[in-house]
Amino acid sequence: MNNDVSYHSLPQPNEVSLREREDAMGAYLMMFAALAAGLPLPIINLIAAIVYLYVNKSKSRFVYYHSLHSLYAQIPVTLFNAGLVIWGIRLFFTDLAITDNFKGYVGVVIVANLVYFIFSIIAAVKARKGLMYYFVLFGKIAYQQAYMVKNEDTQAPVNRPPKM
Amino acid sequence: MRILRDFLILIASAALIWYLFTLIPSSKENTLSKLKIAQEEQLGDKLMKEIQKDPDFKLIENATLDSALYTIQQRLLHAMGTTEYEYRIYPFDNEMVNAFAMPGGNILVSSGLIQLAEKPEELAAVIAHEMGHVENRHVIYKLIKEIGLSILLTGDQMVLGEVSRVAGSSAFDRRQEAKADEFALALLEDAHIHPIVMASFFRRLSDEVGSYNEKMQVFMTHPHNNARIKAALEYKTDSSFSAEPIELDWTQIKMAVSHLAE
Ligand SMILES: [Zn+2]
Repeated sequence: MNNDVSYHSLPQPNEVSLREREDAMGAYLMMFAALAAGLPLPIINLIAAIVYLYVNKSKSRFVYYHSLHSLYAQIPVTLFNAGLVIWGIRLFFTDLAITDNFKGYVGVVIVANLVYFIFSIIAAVKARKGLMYYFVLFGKIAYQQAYMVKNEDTQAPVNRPPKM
Repeated sequence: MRILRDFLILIASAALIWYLFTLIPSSKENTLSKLKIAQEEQLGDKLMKEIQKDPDFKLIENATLDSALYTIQQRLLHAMGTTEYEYRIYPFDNEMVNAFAMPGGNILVSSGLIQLAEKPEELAAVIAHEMGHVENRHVIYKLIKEIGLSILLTGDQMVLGEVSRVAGSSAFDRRQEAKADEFALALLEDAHIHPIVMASFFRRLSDEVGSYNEKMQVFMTHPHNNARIKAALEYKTDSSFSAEPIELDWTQIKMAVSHLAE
């Protein structure tokens, strides 16, 4: 593990332009439209999220962070939903009874979607105010990716002696 | 690393939620709990009377066979310990290899099945399987599903005919079959009968499918014979297990049964 990673400084709310705030908020809100559209085929919303990310990637770190954040949070929810669709179709066509495992899975899917929904709204509101917001796990990953100083950013060519 | 910790927290919460939701009783169990065992027994008694009126259906009345079935039943019940059902095993005259469970713990076995069994332990395996359907309430659930609880409880003549048709003909689903097998294997072990008899009986049944195709009707609705044979072969008995043979003169019993067929 590399301990001397450094991060770009976070913008303070007064430093984030209105345009950036709205684009960042959009990263969360457009997912709802995509999620609804993607219901029968839950992969559609993931594609939409990736497209949104690429469109907004270069705008600013703040927008990039929130787009990544929203995308990452969506991956497990999407996988859960896709799993439910596949499992449901199998149940329907093979006349297998609804097992306790299936009930448990449906529960996980419902809770995952609810949690995702609630926290996305909170994140959208925060983003609109020019604030950072970190989900468990996904917040850290997205922050690392958006704000970590990458080598090529800082390393100007330097002459060093050979290692003896 | 904190990311790893977060990841584990998410996985653990998903697992916990999964587990909690598996505990929610299903509507099926709710419907079932409305039907008391006593009501099921009552329905079972009415059905047995109804079935016996059918001229195509002949119960076998033979003291030798009855006492043999009683011996097998007692061996299994003793191993089961507590049960809310009052089991009764009825042999009936039919050359098809057939056994099914009726509501209230009434189990019917055909003379064809008794003939196919090479020893009493094999018959015990089939009966244990049917007991598994009864204990897990598969029988009554099938009826509720196909006929409906309210109609079932009226118990009038027309309904009874339909009930006996459904109970005797349509199949359980794969999961119910697997559950009944699982129950049977454990029960056989507890009854000091080697669970392998399950495999030997169903293997013989499979082998004879070619020559006696039409006799296999009901057991064909018990699908995946190979899977169940495999499960029986792979069943691990406890290290303290010892088999105790069921003391019955099986040849004599089979002769009593075949005599009736003439
Ligand atoms: Zn069965």
